[in-house]
Amino acid sequence: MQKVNIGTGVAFLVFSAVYYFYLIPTQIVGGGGVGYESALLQADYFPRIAILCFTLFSALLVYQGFKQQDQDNGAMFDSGSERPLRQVGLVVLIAAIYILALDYFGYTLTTPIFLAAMMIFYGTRNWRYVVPVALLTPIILDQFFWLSFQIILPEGVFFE
Amino acid sequence: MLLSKTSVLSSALGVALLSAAAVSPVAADTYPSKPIKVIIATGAGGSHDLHSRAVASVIPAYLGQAFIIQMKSGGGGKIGMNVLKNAKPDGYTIGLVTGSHFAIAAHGKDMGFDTLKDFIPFYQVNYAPTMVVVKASSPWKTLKEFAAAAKAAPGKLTMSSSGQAGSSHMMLLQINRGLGIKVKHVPFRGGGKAFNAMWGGHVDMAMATPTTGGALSKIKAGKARALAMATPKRSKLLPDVPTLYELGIDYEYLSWRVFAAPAGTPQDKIDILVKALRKTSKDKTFKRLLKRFGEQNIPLDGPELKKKYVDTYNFYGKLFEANGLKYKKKM
Amino acid sequence: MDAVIEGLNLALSWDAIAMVALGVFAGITVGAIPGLTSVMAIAVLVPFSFFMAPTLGIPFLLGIHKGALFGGSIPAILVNTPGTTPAAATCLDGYPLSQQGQSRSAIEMALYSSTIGDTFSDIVLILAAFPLAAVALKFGPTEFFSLMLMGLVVISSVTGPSLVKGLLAATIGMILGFVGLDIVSGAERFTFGIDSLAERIGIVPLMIGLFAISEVMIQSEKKISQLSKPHPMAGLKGGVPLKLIILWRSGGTIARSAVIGTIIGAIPGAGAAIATFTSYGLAKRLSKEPEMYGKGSYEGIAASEAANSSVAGADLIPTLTFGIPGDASAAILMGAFIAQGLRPGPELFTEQTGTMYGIFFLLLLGNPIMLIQGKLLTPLFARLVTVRSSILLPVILLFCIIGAYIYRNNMVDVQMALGFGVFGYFLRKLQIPMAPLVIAFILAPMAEEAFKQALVLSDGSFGIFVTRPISAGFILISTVLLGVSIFKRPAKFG
Repeated sequence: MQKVNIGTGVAFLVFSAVYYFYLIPTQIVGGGGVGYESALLQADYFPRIAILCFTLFSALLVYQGFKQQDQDNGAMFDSGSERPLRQVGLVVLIAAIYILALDYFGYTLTTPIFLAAMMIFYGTRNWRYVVPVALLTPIILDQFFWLSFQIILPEGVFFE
Repeated sequence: MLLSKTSVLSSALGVALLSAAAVSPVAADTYPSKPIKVIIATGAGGSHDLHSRAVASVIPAYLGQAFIIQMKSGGGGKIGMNVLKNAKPDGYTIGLVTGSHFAIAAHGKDMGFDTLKDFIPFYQVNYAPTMVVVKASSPWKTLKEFAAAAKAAPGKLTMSSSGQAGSSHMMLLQINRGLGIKVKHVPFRGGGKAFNAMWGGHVDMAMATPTTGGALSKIKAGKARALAMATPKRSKLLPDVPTLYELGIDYEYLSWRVFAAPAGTPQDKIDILVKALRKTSKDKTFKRLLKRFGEQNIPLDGPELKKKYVDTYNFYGKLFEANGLKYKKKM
Repeated sequence: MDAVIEGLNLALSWDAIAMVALGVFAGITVGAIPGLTSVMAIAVLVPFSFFMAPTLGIPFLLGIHKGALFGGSIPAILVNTPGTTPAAATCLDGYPLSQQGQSRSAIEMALYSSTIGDTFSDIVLILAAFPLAAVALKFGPTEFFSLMLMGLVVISSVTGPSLVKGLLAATIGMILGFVGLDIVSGAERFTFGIDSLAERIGIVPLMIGLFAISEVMIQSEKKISQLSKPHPMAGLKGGVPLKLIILWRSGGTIARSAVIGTIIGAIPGAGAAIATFTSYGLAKRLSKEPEMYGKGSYEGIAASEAANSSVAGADLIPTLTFGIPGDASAAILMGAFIAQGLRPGPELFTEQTGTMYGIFFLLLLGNPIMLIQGKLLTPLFARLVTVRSSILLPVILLFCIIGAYIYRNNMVDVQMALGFGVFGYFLRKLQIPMAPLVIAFILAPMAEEAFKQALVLSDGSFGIFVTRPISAGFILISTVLLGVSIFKRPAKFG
């Protein structure tokens, strides 16, 4: 019994149902091109096929989960602490905050903070590394994109 | 890694300076006091991209500031046009817009902007005529012959388009209505692919500008044939080719490159831009660039341009209504 | 003969060679930065080429085109981030090799394969463009569909140990691929009102998220004490140069991949991605060590890179022979040619002049130049990843975020990249393979579009797929491939 496979399979099955009964009807907007009567040409045809296949494979996954005999550690995370997951979660959180901040405060201000925060989070204690990297990398990147392609990195709604 | 105190200090200084530049207001006595952003709602390498870069390469000499091209493609023009609509109307953000977005797509679906209210068109760089093109090896020398063949075999002849309710699809619909025939519509993703399909012999007819797939050079080389021009009057490029109007088809489409500003931009700033752009259109380098692109130099500004803008919008509005494709805004 | 000599003269001048070299270098750089596309670079630089002599401006742009396809493999190998879309296949084997401390040899394998692949397609372009282009031109929607179908069947070769999970990945890819505008019906699908999705999920944010950000997340599971220590493989200094015997052994793969890449690359609109994945899948199927694929097979890198670089020369085939661009960068390049008075067509190859020969020579020269530049730059790049993770990971993450932004100047893409990063993380935890997902994501919508266009053309008749010879051929190949993969599976199902 591989619980992970069963769990995932079931989750996917639920998703399939949502997709088929809710998403397809509501999220396909417009169209009705002039003169296409055939069902095959409608916008929902292929998505329906795709999700039906998905349902099939998810069911197979659940089935496999029940039949599986071997012990290859199918667990998602090494047993023990939730430390790994916590770390990953924090990384995602910091990244998400940075992305949000980018929009409001712009690249130049937020990026050094982001880099410094991440480096410190990952355990770099030596400020001789943190400070130059956090300050120089953003500048180098910014100048490079500007000089070569006239690409402007986010300036921040706050400052407009 | 070199980690002396000086390097750290200098990098800190650098950041401080950069942040200051980004944050502090520049002394805004004369306009323009900083570069102008030009929003392009299409992607890299397209004709808008090229035209805006052509202008951008020449205009600093006349304006005193640079034009910075910002491509914001996506959603069939929706993203870029809305960025332009929502930009601060301080004269530092303008866009190079096309009829395909503001006059055609705007009628077909909810684009999120109001063509007539949200933008101020102020300078036309040029436009490119569009034509109905077939391969030279095809049996039809005129659109009449094509129509006769279509009548004999309804639904057998095909024309490619750049997508549902786009400029070429509309052309097809109008041709069908005007000539009373039934040409089959095969949609492709974009005008380039649509033209290639015709050139590869997979569809019979396509719409093209002189530069789509090198259409004009193919026509001049005798490999392709223009059956009609979708222009108000006959074009100097191909004076022997009749217009769609002459053939009884109510349609024209000019691929337009017009500079527009968000509504609310002060007129005096726009006037300064227009002045600089007029000089750009007369510039030798600019003219050479356009020629290399295979494009014409057709500057226009002022009330005549504004009228053309409104008329174009309304023209396609009527077309969409007539074909039952008009998008009705849900109030 | 005079023309050839004139061409040689034009080509062997210092400024021409310098322009090619500059172009290749710029191309490698652009390719190596995820989010920067060579289309963008060529578009920005094309107006400059107008005022240069044709043998200066055009080879410069061609150099960028070339260099980018190799450059994309660098981040793919070093940090599991494809710098260009077709480099995604290179991630599969390049990154594991890099993790084993063999970054340098992996990049060099990519370099050699790219150079050989590109040289091959350049030669085909110069000598045999016409016959090939004539066939390529026959590719209409029907043939396209069959080609895409074959590409999708290739998925069955790269599913990894679990067929079910591989198929799940493929369907997920398909479902993601259907988001956006359906060209045939005009309907907007699954966009949830988000404008940026109206034209499909960006392939770059998707890959950056699925490959790179998910990898950063996986690395973040390690103990902090481990991450902040100097890299365990730092002593290897990035690895050793590629042993030539390894290159030799992959010779067959490289040759085959170059051929596949050239043929598929010559089909207008097909794209490097399908060439690369088809080549990779086929290579795995025919390999003597298929189980190594995905774990660090040099052959895998060779298959991927030889194919994607040969597209650089191949997509010029339909472009220059008939004026039908192979892909977006070829379209811009075509504009550059026309602007110089070099009209695509038979005359370009037969009548023209010294100029065309000059350009062809420079095109060929670009390959050894790329080889040299690559060999010089590789040790540098390879050492980059010996920086300790606590510094490297934040920088990589920054590049991912910025890369996702500059792709379309759109913050939504960045948010999506992060979202896909999280999604990819969970998929990888569940042992669901990435390769089928990406292949299906790219190919399924194209296949659907072609299918519908074909049906419109045939008035609803399915027969068209087998009555047209080329299409029938691909369908046959697909059936064979599918049959082989089903019946040759090890007995243990899944």
